[in-house]
Amino acid sequence: MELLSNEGLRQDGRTTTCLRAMKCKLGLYDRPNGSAFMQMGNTQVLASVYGPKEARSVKSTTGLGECVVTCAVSRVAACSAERLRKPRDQRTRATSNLVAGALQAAVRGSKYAGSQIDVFVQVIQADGGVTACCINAACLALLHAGIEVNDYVTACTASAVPTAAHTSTQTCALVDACQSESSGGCEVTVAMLPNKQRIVALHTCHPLHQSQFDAVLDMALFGCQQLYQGMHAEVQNFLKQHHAIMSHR
Amino acid sequence: MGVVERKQKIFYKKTKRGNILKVVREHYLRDDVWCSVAGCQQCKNEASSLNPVPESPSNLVSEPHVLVIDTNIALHQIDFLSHESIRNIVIPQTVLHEVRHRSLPVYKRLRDVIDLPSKNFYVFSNEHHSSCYVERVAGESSNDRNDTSIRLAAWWYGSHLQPLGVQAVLLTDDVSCRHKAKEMDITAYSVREYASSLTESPGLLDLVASTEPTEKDEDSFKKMFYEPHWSLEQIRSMLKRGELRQGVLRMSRSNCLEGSVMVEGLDEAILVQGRTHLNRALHDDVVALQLLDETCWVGASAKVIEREDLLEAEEKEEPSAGGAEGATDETLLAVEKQAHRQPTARVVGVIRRKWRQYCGIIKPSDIPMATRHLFVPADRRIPYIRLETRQVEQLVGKRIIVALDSWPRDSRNPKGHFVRVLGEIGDRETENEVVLLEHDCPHTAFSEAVLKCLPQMPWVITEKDERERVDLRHVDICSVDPIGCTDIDDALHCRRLDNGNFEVGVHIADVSHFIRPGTALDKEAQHRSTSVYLTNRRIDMVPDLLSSNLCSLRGNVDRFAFSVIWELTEDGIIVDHRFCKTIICSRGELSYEQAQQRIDDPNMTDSLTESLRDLNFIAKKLKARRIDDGALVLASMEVKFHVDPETDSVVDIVAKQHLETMSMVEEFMLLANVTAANTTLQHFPDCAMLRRHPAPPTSNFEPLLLACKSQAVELDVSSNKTLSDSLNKCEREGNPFFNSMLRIMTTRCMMQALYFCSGTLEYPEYYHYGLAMPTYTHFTSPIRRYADIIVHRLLGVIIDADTTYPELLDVKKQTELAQHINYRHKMAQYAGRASGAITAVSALKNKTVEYEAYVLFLHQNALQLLVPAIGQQMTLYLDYHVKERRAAVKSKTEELRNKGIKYKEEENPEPLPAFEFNEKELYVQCGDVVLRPFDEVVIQATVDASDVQHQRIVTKLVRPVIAGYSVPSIRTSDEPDTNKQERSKKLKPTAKIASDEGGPEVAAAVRKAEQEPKKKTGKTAARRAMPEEPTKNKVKKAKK
Repeated sequence: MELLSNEGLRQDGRTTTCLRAMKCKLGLYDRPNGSAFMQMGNTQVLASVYGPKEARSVKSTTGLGECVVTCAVSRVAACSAERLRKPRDQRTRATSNLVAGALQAAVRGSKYAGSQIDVFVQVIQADGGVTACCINAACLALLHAGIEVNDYVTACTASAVPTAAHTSTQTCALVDACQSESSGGCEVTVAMLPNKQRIVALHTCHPLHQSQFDAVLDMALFGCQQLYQGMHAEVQNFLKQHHAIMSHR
Repeated sequence: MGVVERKQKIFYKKTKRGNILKVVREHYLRDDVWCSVAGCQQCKNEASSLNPVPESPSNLVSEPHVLVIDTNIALHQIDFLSHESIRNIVIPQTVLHEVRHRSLPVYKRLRDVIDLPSKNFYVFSNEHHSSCYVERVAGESSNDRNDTSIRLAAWWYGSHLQPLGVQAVLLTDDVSCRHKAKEMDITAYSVREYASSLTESPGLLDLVASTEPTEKDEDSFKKMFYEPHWSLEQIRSMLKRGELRQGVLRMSRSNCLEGSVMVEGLDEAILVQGRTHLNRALHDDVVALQLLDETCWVGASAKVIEREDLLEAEEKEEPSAGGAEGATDETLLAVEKQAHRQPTARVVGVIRRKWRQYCGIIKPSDIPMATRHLFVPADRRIPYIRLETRQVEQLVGKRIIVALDSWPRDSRNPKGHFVRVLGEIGDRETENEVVLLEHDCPHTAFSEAVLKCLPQMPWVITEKDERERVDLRHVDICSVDPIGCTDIDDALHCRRLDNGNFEVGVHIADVSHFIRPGTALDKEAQHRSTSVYLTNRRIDMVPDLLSSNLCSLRGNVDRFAFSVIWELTEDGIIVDHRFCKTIICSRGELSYEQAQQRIDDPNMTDSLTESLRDLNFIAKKLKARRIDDGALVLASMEVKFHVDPETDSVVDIVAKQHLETMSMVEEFMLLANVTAANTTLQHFPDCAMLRRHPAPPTSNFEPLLLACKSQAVELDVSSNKTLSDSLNKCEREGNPFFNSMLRIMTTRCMMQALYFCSGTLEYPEYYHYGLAMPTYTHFTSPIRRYADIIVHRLLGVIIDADTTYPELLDVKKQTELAQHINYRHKMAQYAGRASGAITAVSALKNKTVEYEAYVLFLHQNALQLLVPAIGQQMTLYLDYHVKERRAAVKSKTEELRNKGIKYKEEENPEPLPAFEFNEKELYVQCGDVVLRPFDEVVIQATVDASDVQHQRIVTKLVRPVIAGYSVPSIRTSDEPDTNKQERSKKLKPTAKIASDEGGPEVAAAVRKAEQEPKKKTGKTAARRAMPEEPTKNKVKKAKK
């Protein structure tokens, strides 16, 4: 299947620089300290934050004077076409670590020394860019929990696919790849602090040639900035509606 | 601007395992899909590809208009769409997707047409257009939805273009679709209606495929020739249950009513015999088979049936008519009790058609003014095609191309339509064109975009180049090639080192320097994959500027090379090797003969000659070691045609000579290839482009062993080493050709050597059987083989002279590429051989020539003979005398009838000698004459020119003499002996290491075989006087 037609449209009708429909919502539940919902196209994720609380794990007591962010990602059995056997497996554990790492970079750790923040992420629907969506949702949940952060952390994927075979074999970068695009090309997930212009996590699935990397990375960063605009607007909106300023509850 | 609405596409998909998946995909609708019509104010067209002609060429539609087509038009009427007068076509995206899904070849052609700016085609992304999107209604089939969406696109165009005064016309051959279109106020016509309205292009109607079904009522009265095909669903479910088999149908070359299918799970091929069982399946189609009862299993037909026979049989049968359809087939197939029985089956359905366009000639109907004619394809495995045309007078005597449309049950032959004329029959260019088209060789001139990638002339070596490359201009390098070779891709040098070792260098044209990955030039070269050598034409893989100038390592000019330099001991053991990019200056372009003379002439002591002698010395060591390892020395018939370029007639046919220098060059090329293979594999274990030659399965050797048995010779085929040894032992007194024949037959048992990507196979499978090498690749001829360019690029990365690119390291892409190259290589070889056969026929024109020939295969009614003198295989029918008599009787009857006398058959026509065919012991007997494989016979060959359209070689037996069958020799009494002696000397086939020639090629590395054709091209006339005359004189003198 041609992932990018000669007419310049992707299979779902987007151009190369067009993100999927994005929707997000803060504050879904009362029990957790913070919660958020994030949708990027057909990828939908729920995130909830518990903490900061006293650190229990051995890891955190080694004491760097910083708080520890833990993350657990689980998937609903029917989240993608093929049913999953277990909600958590090797892959979700890897995703969890990646998400935790990205969040760690955003949280002002010195503020919460000796404490730990637990983030639980549930993947409801998966259609490419799951890791990125998890990071975005977790970031919103952190904000909702009122945890102090250095910056937002936003994540986006990009893929490199060959342009229609007979025009050229040159590849073309696509932002926010859906499932078929990432399995037909590659999937580079980039998480960044949009205001500080810092990349905090980077992950690549499927081989990607070095010569394509810059274009793909730029595309993903572009996507991060776009997402930041959307997420920030939603946060502003939330604050306005609740007549609140962000603070720890 | 941009996305306006988000939809979901939800559908269910069945996986291979049988699981049902729900697939949800997003679908965005946009408001920025433009109409692309010139002058439209509402759309923000960046470039308008549609430009309706102000004066409508059609007398159906008076206003300027654009055409919207539906899927079936694109699928079946692609020839019509490709016609130059058809312009301004809107192709809805829906159509493009469906075409891609249903037929990839048509899709590619359609894409090519779309890309031509002159055709004004436009792909309208209607699926993403906010007002053209149609959602599938519950219960509606996806076909119906697509038709609706195409109509909606046509309607949108119609209303959108109204302000401009431009109309949109929907072309569809579906009556109900036209009807629905009328309801929506869309102008709709069938292709036939529209084509006939274009009065200015009269030839257009012939291009229109007849897809409209004949009236249903008539069907019931018509006689059906074939069983209906089963539905695809039924076939699928039965395949799953194992009640049917699936495979690709391969028609036999010698028998047009027999095909074989290899299926999974069976070691043996399944036979499909007879027209009813073949049930309208064509060569290369993927078919579903139902196995027949074991009692119906037979051995492969031992008969040769050409289509001429068939036609005769048909003619005969026609008056008798009636339901005796199967009878012809059966009489022709005449099944005997045979020892070896193969499973047989009948075709119940065709899963995928592999129809293409066919070259051939028209066989006009006997009825004057008829519009229906038969078309005779050049490929024997394709049946005659029924064709409708009004311009038959212009097509007779021409080679034409015809496309297949359909094969209804009530038609004995498939139906097709005329596409275009290639040229006159017999014209060299036309015949070449036919060969190239039939073998799918891309041969058009290089496009503008490709030529733009070439370096600017005059080309100079810059300082940067000099810095990056090793300067070897001071070294005595020379190239040794066939005479007249213009694409020189290798050169050699040899120096003695102080420590007694030798430094040997092989320098290969640095094509990868000029052909950068991803450029148009690269893509074209990749598409062609190989240069094609016909007897009088060479079709280059890369443009002439590169192949014969900048990349060609010509003498006394500076050229870029990719060099491999070894340090070898006296015994040819490699001490060290390195690859580097160099600048060289060849001291001379030697021919094999010149190099040989230099080596043989003791007076020549210059450094170049000395190095040649050293090279020759080491090469012998290398060769001995290789043969010791089990490399095969095989033979093939190679001849050289000396063609007079002015008259295009063949002046002479000469067997190729073998010189020591040839094997010298060959050895070093092999060494270079092996070194390249090892180096690339070491650095790129997953994506090295290698070449393997699988060991043939023992069953391949069966015909050979049987033939050997009949001659009481034994061969040990258990490994390449034992085979090679036992071949060396076989000699036969009085038949100097015997050993060579054996080697030729062995060559035919071999498998094809193949390129592959190293990541896809296990190490033991890399083995090259013919060369007895664990790893092998092609490195030495990048000018004419694309695989070599890939190897060059990989090596370039290894020595840090080049960078990788995504496709180079992608195992999947590399594998696809390897398969593509394998296909092109095979086709190019077949094309070269076909061209040789045509040249041989043209050499025989208006002549009757006698040849010594050797029996290759036996059939029940024919012998396959090998004629070394012209390097061709010929068929000797064992029943031609019967036919001749029948024809004689017929003509006599007619003659007498014309005179008003009734012909009475002779009372006792003397009995004709009959042949007895013994399949078990493999011989043919007639009286006391027994013919076995390898036996020598003398035949007389003429070209049967009675039918101008279809010339073929007719052979008759001269010796051994069989009364009533053989014909008297035309040679004078004393001549044959001298002739024969001299011939057997001259025509000893060139025995050589693992030839690439012959059906089963052995090792394409062997450059001799692959390079040889070069000298055939054109330039040979100058030196044609060489062999024939002087040798004859010598022999005669010696006799005196």
